[in-house]
Amino acid sequence: MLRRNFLWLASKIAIVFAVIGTGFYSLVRALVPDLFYEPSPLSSVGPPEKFPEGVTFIQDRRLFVVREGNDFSIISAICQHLGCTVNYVPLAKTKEVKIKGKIVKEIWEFACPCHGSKYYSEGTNYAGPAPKPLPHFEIARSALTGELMVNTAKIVKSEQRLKL
Amino acid sequence: MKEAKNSLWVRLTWAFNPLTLKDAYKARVKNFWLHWFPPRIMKCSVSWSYSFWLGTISGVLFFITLVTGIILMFIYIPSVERAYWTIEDLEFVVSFGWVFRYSHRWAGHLMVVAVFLHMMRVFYTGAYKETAQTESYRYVNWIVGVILLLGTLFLAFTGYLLPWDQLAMWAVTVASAIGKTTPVVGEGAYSLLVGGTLIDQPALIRFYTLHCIALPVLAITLVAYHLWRVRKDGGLACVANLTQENREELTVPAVPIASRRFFLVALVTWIVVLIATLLFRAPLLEPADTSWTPNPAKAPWYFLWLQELITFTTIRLGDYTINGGFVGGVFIPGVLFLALAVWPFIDKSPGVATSKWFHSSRLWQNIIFTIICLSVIFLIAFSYYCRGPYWEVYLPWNRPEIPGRF
Repeated sequence: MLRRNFLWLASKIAIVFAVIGTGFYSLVRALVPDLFYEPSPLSSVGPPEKFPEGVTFIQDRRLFVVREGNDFSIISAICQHLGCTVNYVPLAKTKEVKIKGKIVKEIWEFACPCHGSKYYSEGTNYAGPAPKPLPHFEIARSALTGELMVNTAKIVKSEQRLKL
Repeated sequence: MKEAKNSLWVRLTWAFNPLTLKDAYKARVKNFWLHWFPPRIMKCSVSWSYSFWLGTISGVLFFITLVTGIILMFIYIPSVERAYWTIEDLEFVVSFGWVFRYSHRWAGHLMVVAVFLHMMRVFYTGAYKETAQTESYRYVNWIVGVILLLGTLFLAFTGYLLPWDQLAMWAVTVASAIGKTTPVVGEGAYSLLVGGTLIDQPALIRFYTLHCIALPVLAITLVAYHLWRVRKDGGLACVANLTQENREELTVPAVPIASRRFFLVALVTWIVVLIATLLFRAPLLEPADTSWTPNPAKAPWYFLWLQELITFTTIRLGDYTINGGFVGGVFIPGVLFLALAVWPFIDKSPGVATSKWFHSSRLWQNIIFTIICLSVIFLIAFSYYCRGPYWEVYLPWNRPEIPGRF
């Protein structure tokens, strides 16, 4: 290869790398967020006494705290279809449904206003376009303050309950 | 007579009513605003009934959104705390603020309509096909046009978030979640567009920058290229057998024939936007609130056909589920737009079908195209009028209204 041809080829490669590297890559990379100014996944929802029997909607965290006697669980209020906030719908009369082979008495359900997805009381999707159930988040009682702590980064099984 | 000829008014407007052919030609050399017209133009290019001037109408609407948009930028503040209240100011405090906001909105919405109709016209006339006589690459302009259609939709979409009210918040939540369901690239594209995991300040500033700088610059560049290509391809795709002998008969001087029509079209378009501005308010709901979704939550009308599609395209195969957001929101429109872009290479109809409305050799593709267009329009209308609370179907006249939160 002639020296002239080699230098010409090398400079072409250099130009391509310069454009991709400094131009395109850095531009896209700069726009990928490295730091989220968003609420921490681990937060307190308040003392357990605060919650009445049934479902309480925590507005700013978009989740439901469910209390059945002394059993607590936390269900996401974000529809698994396209991210709308689902509504808590108390049922006028109890209905019996079969969830994962078990007969459960329903006194409420969740419904999404955007595309009509419906979920049973423990989050299982049964109607509309939602592809999967509403996730349950990890819940624990803080040893320090006695408040209920939720970790929205950690999804747990829908049968899991915090017993107090 | 001599005095009249020298008056300022006559000097400014002589090009619209030249008394001689020489005057008409001189106009485009002497006047900056007329210099982009060719000396002579095909009669069919300026015909009302061939093109309906839909491209010009789209361009004028784009120009109106640019001018009104710049004025809005002087008032609007892209911050989650203040965005909504600056829109309220435009509505109630700023003198004529509402004129600019409504005009911007109606011109933008009408632009979506005009660009779509423009595409339909070009398809039905086979105007992306080559003509035998000229060396042209009209398929390039068709592809640029498809990109501009997507650009128009994306411009309209990014503008939708800016008022930061409930309508904006939830329309954008739904539409951006659709993109998120794309396999492999969806999550990355979502966080790139929204700048986080939820619609908040980073999303607002990104949409604002896209809406006010990145997309308009792209659109202006592509429009300029689109128009330049029309000239390079020899005007609209209606070139008959142009020879030295019939040239006089088939063409007319562009100034004043085309220029006059251009100004007339611009004027009528502007009047239509102003009438819409005076008759219809632009909606503004309560400030955005992530914790409460209005019922029903509808996407912007030009995306309603996608929202309708995703409602019934969630596919279940045993335990395996494909989110309808991907099938109806990404895959189907993706295939449609791709087919649209490569259609000039699929269309094998003969050259005589070029520039003829509904030419018989293109019967089947016209039927398929019409069915797709009508389906889109039907889905939009159905979704707009018949979807009520919890996305259930109602007759438009007895659709219950769920009261707002307040």
